[in-house]
Amino acid sequence: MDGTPLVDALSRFARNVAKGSGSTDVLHELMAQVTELLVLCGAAVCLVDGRRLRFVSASVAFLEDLERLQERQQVGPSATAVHTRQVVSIPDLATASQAADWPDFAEAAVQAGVRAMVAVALKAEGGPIGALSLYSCQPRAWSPADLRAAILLTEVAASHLAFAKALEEQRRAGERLQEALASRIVIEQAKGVLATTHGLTIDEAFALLRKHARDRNARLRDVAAAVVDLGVRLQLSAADPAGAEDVEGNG
Amino acid sequence: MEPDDGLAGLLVDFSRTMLTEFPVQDVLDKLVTRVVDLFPVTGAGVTLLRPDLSREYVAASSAAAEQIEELQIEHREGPCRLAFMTGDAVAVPDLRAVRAYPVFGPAAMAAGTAAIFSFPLRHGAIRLGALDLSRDTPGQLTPDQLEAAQTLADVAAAYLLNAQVRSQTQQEAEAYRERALHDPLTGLANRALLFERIEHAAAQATRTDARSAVIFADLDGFKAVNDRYGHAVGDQLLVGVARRLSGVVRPGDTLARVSGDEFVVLCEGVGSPDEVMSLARRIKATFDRPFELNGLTLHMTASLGIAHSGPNLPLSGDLLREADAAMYRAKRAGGGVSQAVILTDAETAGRARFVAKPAESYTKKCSAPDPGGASPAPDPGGIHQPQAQPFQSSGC
Repeated sequence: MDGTPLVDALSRFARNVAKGSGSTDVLHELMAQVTELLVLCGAAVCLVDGRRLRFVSASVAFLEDLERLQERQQVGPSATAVHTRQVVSIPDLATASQAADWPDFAEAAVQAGVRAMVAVALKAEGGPIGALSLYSCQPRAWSPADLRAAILLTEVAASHLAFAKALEEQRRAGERLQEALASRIVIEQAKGVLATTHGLTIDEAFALLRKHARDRNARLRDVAAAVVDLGVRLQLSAADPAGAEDVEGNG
Repeated sequence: MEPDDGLAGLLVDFSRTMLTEFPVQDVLDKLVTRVVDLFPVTGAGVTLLRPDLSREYVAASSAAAEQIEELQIEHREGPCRLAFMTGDAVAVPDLRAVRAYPVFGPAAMAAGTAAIFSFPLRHGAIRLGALDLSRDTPGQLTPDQLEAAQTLADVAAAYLLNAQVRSQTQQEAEAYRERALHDPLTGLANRALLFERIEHAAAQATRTDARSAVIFADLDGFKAVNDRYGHAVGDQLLVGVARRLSGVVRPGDTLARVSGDEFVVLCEGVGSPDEVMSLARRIKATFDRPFELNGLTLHMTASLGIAHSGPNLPLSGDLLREADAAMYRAKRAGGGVSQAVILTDAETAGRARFVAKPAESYTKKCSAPDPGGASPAPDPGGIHQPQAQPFQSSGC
């Protein structure tokens, strides 16, 4: 294979996942580029989930059953690629000796019209995180250039996946902080409202808010929101002095 | 060498920069250093431009290539600028033949450049800057080479955009974090940040035997100020106290406002208890001068509780609790006083002992493992010491 189509595929891939694409988009782009570049009948991706390989996505629907069979049995070309960290290249599923390791998968593949396969591990710093499988509907002697193209695209995609994951974590962290901040603001507001409506100090208002939430097994934030947004008044209990200990007694 | 091979390799290398600390610099450094081997050129430079055409970043393969970038920025003309503005590649195979750059052209030739090719770094309608390839002899690049260079510029732009998204996300999270971890009134750390720092200090302490200390400072009579003059004055007072305390803590100390009028200083990496007591004295001294607020003159004092960990004692919330308890004892002693506790090494002490002394000297507490999990009861003899006034209090 000439190098230029590979460069085109690599650059198309990079351009299509700019601006912080999520992992789903990255995987779809990987399958699309490799399918077009190597003229395949389809591609699929599975990812390591705990100790199991989980099917994630296929570029065409007819590969899904096959991938799910591999997921159930945890054996097949992708599983081998992940475990051995080697590229698995099968020129003909009907005759290949490797197929003996996963006879059910090989038989189902041939029945589905698949004849040749390649599986490449998606590698991250800590080890393989999944695999890309390439499906050909004719027997195919995969050339070194074919394999190199698959490896390079997979390598680029793995970097993008790690990036997407880091970005998603960062976004979630931001959301959690935003949520915490919103909670704190509404709690501050509720303290102010209670202090005014119930004639309490800010500390007493907070103690009342906390007691109310605890007694009802409710979140402090929800009670605070009810006080602020709905004007809910809380019951003052005489037996339970809200202010705890008066620490400013000598003032 | 097969040129496409190098190109593909460079495209793969670009992707490796995605998780580095400085992805923008890394992508552009890779681009300019590798591109000179892939094309028949003598220099490569990139200038990232802002929409107002001011410079954001410059990367270059050599000092000469950097000069080409600088000259275009300085003279506000050149192919780089044109490529950026039009979004199309600009080829100048012979600078002598071009009159479009009356200032930059001669300057570039004087600097040894004879030909220059500029490729916009673009993504859709977005343009980030341009890649300049320069030659020291006149000459054209082939259409394939021009196309390949533009591809590299576009892919670099895609990675720059990813880096941009990442830094924006980081900044947003950081802004939320800042707001979530600070007291909006005084700008000091809040309780959440204090606990985070304590956890961090605890982790450090187990590794390095560093000692830590916590000083709890509670204003005396703050409630009375609030009741008498209103919350606005109370708030101003808290801001004033925060400002004064910020001026006396050591660099690296965490100063937090944990509730109404309670301030906490977490000191990490403390050498000796004397260092902490010296800080406590400085804190006390910040109350020597009255606070002038809205024409009011408020003489304030604070009660201090000080807890200092001995070596090899893993720091935990215990230190905070001890400092808090010491502060309450100071409070009960009439306010304006300090109480100190040292938590020392469990290894050298046998069973829990507790020797309490008035402030300025220390309450020594050997924290042997306590089977009940409860804090050992303090020796009452040294706790209630109303006469203990080691730091002169001005009264309220």
